[in-house]
Amino acid sequence: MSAVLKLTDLQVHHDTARGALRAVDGISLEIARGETLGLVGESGCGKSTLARCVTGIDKPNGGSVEIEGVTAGRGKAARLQRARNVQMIFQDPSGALNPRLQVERIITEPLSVAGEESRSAHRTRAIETARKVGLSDYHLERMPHELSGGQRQRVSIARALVLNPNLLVCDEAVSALDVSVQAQVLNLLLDIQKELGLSYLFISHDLAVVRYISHRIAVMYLGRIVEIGAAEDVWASRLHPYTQALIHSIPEEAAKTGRTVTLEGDVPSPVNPPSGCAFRTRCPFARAACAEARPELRAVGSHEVACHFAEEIAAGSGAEPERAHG
Amino acid sequence: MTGTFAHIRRLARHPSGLFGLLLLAAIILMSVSAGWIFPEGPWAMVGPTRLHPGVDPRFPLGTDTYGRDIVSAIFYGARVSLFVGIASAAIALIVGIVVGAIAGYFGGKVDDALMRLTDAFQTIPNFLLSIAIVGIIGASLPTITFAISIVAWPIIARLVRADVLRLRTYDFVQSCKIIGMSDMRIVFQQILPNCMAPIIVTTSVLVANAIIVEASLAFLGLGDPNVMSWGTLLNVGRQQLRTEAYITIVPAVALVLTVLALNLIGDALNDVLNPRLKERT
Repeated sequence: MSAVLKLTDLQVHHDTARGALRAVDGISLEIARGETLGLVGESGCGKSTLARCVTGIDKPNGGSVEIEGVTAGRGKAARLQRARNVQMIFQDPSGALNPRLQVERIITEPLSVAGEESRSAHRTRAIETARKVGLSDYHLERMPHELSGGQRQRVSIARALVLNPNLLVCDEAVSALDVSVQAQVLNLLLDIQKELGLSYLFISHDLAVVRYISHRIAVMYLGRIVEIGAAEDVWASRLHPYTQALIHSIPEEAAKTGRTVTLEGDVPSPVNPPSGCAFRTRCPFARAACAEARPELRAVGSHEVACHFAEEIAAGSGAEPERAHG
Repeated sequence: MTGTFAHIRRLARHPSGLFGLLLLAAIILMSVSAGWIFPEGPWAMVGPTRLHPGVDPRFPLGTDTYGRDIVSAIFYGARVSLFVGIASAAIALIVGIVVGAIAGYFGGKVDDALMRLTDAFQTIPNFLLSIAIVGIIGASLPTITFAISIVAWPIIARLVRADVLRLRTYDFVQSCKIIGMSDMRIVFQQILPNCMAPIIVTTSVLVANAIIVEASLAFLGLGDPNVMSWGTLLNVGRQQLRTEAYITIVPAVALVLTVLALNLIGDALNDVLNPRLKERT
């Protein structure tokens, strides 16, 4: 099975007044054809920067982005080629559509930029794609402000699909929608995947949504992946203390297990991250060793995790976490 | 662009907008018809000198100290005012939009450099620079237009920059980048149409301002000596203010009404183009 997307040691640094901000700090991952990789993490952990890198809005400082086996370049031809393979769906459906353009124009814009086909062919493609996402022909004549949030998100999806890409990056694609509409859009994404064999990079802070839609889940903390594996594996036998905390912070899960693990404090500054394991400042299991060496991703049980004490945590899961001091 | 006609219709329904539009239409009509109604031109001495208004029906607004018809001068003066107003606003718009859009979209050092340049131009006193330029290059309509627009464009540049700066972070701009659209096309085709409202409103003020500056220059005798401007008439009337005040009053009223029309249209446009007031008007 060939990988649609392959990231190798991807680094993105933003220059700030206080030094380089490592938004993405050495991420390697692959997404196979027809697979959905869910990417979770708190806000500010670098999820969106990763998405911007994959779609080519941001330029990585190190590492490579390979799409369909081809390392993504920066030239005009490379940009257009990438556009045919990777498209993106955004969080806020009202900001994602140009308020001055008719829906049909919005959907067919990628075709005209790619220099594809004649104007009349655009119309048929627009109708075809709109039907695919559950919009009717008359929606094409509307302006974005005449549509509901869910309809706008469908327009956004149609625009992303019109070039027949292989990978769709969904950055918090349902987070801004009503819960009932969320379910509709999620199911639409699943249907489209089944029909077209697309891959998704599904980015969200909502673990429950990610679990529902993903084949695999990657958990991100401060620009690095701390745990990655098959969705149900990560969910059922979560090993990294951060993943555990994330899952326990879901009210239903907390009620089920009868205990809540709340994370204390804020995410440390990515400009000046803690030494060793970046999570140690908030980790209930943190020990002296955590400050010395940075844990790398390694296979533990059925999936990969970046924690020095993953085995101990796995063995003693359910036991009270011991504190290093006091 | 489907909303353009709807905007015009709503502008015509706006009370002060309608008044402004009618006034402006009258002024445009005057400048267009001047050549047909007064084929002899505004400089011809067609009647007795210093004829007060209402005395001779051939000269409803009287004649000046040289026996030139004041109505004719007003008609031809409308041409000059409109030309200078529209031309200098157009130049200011083009320069301002290009500078502002580039500064706002690319940001960083480009933005810094362009904005310092804008600051430099904005600190120059409007009228003094016009006098200086006219003094150096010589008084002609193109010079005056150039002098006025060189001080006016920073206002537009700042407006456009602020809006582009806000809009470029919107996801629809990101999506244009993803589909490989060129930066120029993103700025001018996708972003700019979304910041037209404040630009249009400000333009009406720019036109009014340019008309005032041109008339002021002509009043000081620094206007183009080959064209009859309302300012020229004001200058002529200045010397006869105590005995023939009408020579001053008539062009002054024309000037006031023109500027008033443009300001009313600007205010009305502000209401019409404001999406939050859409339902109320």
